[in-house]
Formats: sequence, C-alpha cells, structure tokens
Amino acid sequence: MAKSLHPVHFFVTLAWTLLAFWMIFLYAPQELTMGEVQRIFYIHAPLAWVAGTAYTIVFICSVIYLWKRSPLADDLAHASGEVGFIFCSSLLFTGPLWAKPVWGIWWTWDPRLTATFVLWLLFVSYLMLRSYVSSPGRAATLAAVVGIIGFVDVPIDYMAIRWWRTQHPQPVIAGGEGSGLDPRMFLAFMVCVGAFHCLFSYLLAQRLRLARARREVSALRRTLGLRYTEE
Amino acid sequence: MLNKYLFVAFSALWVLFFVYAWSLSRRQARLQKELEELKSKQGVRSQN
Repeated sequence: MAKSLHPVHFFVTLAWTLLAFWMIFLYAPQELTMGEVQRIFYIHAPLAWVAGTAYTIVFICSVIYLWKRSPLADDLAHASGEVGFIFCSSLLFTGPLWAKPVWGIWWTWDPRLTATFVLWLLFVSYLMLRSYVSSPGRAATLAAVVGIIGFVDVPIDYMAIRWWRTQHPQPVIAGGEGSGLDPRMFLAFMVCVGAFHCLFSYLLAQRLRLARARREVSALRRTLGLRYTEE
Repeated sequence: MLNKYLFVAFSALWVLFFVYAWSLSRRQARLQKELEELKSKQGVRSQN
C-alpha cells in the first residue's frame, strides 16, 4: 500500500510545488516597499511552519515512545527530527537573505530569531544524541526526553513576535487588528504552506521507509548471529 | 531582473532539498542491497 502510494505522493508534491512557484512569481502582486525580494516571504514563512510541525511530531512521537515503547513512534520521531532539521536549516538560511536588503543586517539576536536558532540547536542535539549513543534503546529514550523538553521552544518561537517588540516583522497571519495580507498574497502564501507540508510529508515518508528497512536489516543480522551494526 | 538575494534563496533551497532526497535514495538502495544479501544468506542456512 505504502509502496503504491509513493509515485502518487511524489507527483502530487511535484505538481503542488510547481503551482506554488507559479503563484510566487506570476500570481502574487509585488509588494510596494520591499519590491521583488519580498517574495522570499513565500518560502521563508512556510519553512517556519513546517519546522514547527516537524518538532511537534517529534514531541508527540517521543511521548508515545516513552509511554508505549512503540518502535514506529521512535522511527517517526527520528525521521521527523532529520527532515525537520533540513527545513529549519533552510529557514535560517533564507531569513538573513531577506533581512540583509530590508533591514541592512544579516542577523540580530531578537527574541524571534533567537528562539528559531534555539529550535535549530534542538534539532542538532536531537540528531547528535541519536548518532553518538551506541545502544539504540538508550539513544531512543534519551532522544525522546530531549524531544519532549525541547518542545517548550516551539510555542515561544511562535509567540515571540506577539509577546515582545522585535526586529522581525509582526505577524501578518492571525496577528489581530491591523495585520493581514492582500487576498492574492494570502492565497499564494497558503498554497506555499500546503506545498511545503506536502514536500515535508513526502521526505518524511521516505525517511520512515529507510528507518523501517534499517530495523529489518538489524533483525535479520541478529537472526543470523551476525554482529549488530547501526548505521 | 531577478533580485540576487531572491535568486540565492530559491536556488540554494532547492539544491539542498535535491541533495537530501538523493542522499535518502542512496541510503535506501544500500540498505535494500544489504537486506537482499541477508535474505539470501538466511535462505542458504535454512536449506542446510
């Protein structure tokens, strides 16, 4: 079933991404003050949403793993941690590329940017922990603890621009009175959010397949009495 | 003309995603190969 869904998932992701590209460059109007460079917004903000989704999956699966000791929950948490790291790194890369022409600086330690950097460090620590602890069971338990404790940063990151006055712009979605987007910008933005989540789910499914195959290999090696290796 | 920051942001993003997808498929192919080798070893052992 999962194998037969693979090409469908791939083509849906591809079509959605192409539609998002068309909307970013041809459908959405040009912003008046920032000009062309504002179009980075259509990739930067959805990357932030996906990074939040990825860490939320890590958190939920870590709770399930500690509660039920489910290998599937552990695999899903690990997969989401790795794919989330890619999205969070892209978020930290695209942010300064937008900041430099608009603010005149690449980076500043304001609450939103700092909370996002902490989120990236959490992804890094989660993955390092998984690769440096040699016992797979112990690595899964310790990583789950990091996954749960670190989740506290996700709501702080989301609320930072609502709680404090920051260099980072105030929210344009769900930001209350005075916030909002041009309807065509809003539609383009939502299509991009969908496209990035679709891409995330595709990469997550591939990474999960890899984790399942790795478990199968380990089990077979044990059955055959070969030395256990964790890649 | 496309803004240079916009160009770098978009191109680097897609290069990163393609490299990651490629690394996933490489790792998958290597594991698949190992799995097939182990299964054939298991088959030989059960025949003996």
